[in-house]
Amino acid sequence: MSEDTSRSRYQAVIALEVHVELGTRTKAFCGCPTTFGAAPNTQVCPICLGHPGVLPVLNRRAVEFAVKAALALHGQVHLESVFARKNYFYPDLPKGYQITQYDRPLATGGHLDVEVDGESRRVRIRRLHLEEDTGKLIHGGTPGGGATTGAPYSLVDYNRSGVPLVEIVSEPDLRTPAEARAYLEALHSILEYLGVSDVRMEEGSMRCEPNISLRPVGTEKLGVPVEIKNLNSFRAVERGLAYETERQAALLAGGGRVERETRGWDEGAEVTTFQRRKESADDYRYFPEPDLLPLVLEQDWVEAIRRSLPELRTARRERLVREYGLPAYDAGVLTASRHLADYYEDAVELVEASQGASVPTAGAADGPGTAPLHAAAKTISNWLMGDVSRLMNEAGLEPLAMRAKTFALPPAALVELVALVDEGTISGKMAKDVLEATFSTGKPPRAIVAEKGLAQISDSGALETVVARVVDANPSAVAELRAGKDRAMGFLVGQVMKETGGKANPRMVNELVRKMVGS
Amino acid sequence: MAIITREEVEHVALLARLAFSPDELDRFTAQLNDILGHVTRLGGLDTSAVEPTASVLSGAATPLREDEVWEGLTREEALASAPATEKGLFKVPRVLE
Ligand SMILES: [Zn+2]
Repeated sequence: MSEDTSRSRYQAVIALEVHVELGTRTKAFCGCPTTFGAAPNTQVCPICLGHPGVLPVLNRRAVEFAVKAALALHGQVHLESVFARKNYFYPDLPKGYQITQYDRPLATGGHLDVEVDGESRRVRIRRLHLEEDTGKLIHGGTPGGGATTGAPYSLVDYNRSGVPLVEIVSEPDLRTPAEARAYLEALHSILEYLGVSDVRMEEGSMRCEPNISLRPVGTEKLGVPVEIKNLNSFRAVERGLAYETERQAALLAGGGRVERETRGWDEGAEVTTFQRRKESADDYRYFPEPDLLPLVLEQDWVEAIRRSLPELRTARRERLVREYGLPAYDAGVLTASRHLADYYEDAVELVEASQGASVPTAGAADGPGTAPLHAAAKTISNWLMGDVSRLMNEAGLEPLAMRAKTFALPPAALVELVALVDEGTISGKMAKDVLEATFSTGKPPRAIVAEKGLAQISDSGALETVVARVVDANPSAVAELRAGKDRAMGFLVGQVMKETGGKANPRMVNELVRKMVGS
Repeated sequence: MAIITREEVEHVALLARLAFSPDELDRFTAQLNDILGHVTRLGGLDTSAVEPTASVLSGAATPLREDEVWEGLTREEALASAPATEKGLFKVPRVLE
């Protein structure tokens, strides 16, 4: 039986466990800073190193961020939740246990709507709880020097130990790798909009561990789940799950059995490999954390957090369509990242300010005066979705980079570029070169245009001389144009462009030729 | 009757990364059964009218601290009590399975 046939006999059932580092200044239970990339073991204290006799004290902002995330996911926030000890021995865990929440988590229930192939699906969320991160193990070798296989020791950096995390567990509602990816992307977007985490998968501030099992199509009973680790990008999540679907289908079709185990994704080889047998919950010997009393939330505080929830992606997408007349597609692309959308709106607001138009309010969007704004809004969208995105990808930059003060192309620069094209100083084609120059040097577009002498000749006096010379030198083309042959116009304009090194404003040349030839 | 079996003691020892000799396993199984047997007496109490609690301080809530940085340890202090270090990191026996 071919693999295709065996795969189609089974349905994948996928649940995602996602860990997100909260963007607090300090750790969950101590005041150590959480700055990413600090020198090893420079952000540690007796609490996060697990010295004897210390007591954890919970960070208020970590609780606030976790509540925010739970509310945005439509979960039920419990006014009383309990911390628990999860016991296991591994050197990345200095205490020998992790402080987490077990049978009484901060929030339960909720859902997330995801879109796959234009269809919306509701994925239920099982729970969201607070816990602490572990330290970082470097297996053998030296930090940055890569792992030396067979080295007899490991090295540990505890800077990350105790950083607050939320764990968000979905119900097994996902059926395909593409759906799992869409869910993760939607979750990423929400957390980014909430500003509770920098959600960077490459740096590990968002980590996804899916569970996947297969069952024969048409049956209900769940198969044996396998957990996949080391998935450091959206793409890896999708590829890893696709690989695991194939592997399990082939195994089952061949009469084999799937083992309950943890497998690691090998990015280079694009395969999952066995890591370890899964310890069962009993083996973690959970019990209530004796060093922390229950977490009790005031209802008023929860309600205040609810009121403070920002506009999320779906609402913003709709607003961009309404206020700026953007196509839904554009609005969808621009709002995929909060940072891209913030950049976009900053740029459009600059245009709006320069046009002296008042801020359009809902309902007044179709009133007089919005047409130029809508046109500029679409032009800026085109630049962002096209050339700017391409340059960002080539430079390996994420949308967050666009909000840095040092970003080479701030919104004002993009608006300046659009204005240069609008006023006829440069052509759309030249603008692409100017954009690249600004992007790589950080020099404003006007400065680039001046420096490279790119400005179009829009001075009618200067152009008239050239046009007159071209008209005199090409009597036959002039005759053809007078006879109504428009192709001759293209030829004459082309000659003028050639003489001016491509710098003449084509629209003005056109007008001047018509005026001189009298056609 | 045994409350905890020799196999269970062996399993817990594995989770705790402890290696016991057969003699030790026999001795600890017997000792743990004595201890657990003693604690089991608590099970004789009628707690049907008592609310379960997660803490001995009923009704109290965990205090919260503001998200403000406090002074921790220098790297030298942090590593001072470690048996082995290398380049600012704690050095431990290899754990990659
Ligand atoms: Zn600390």
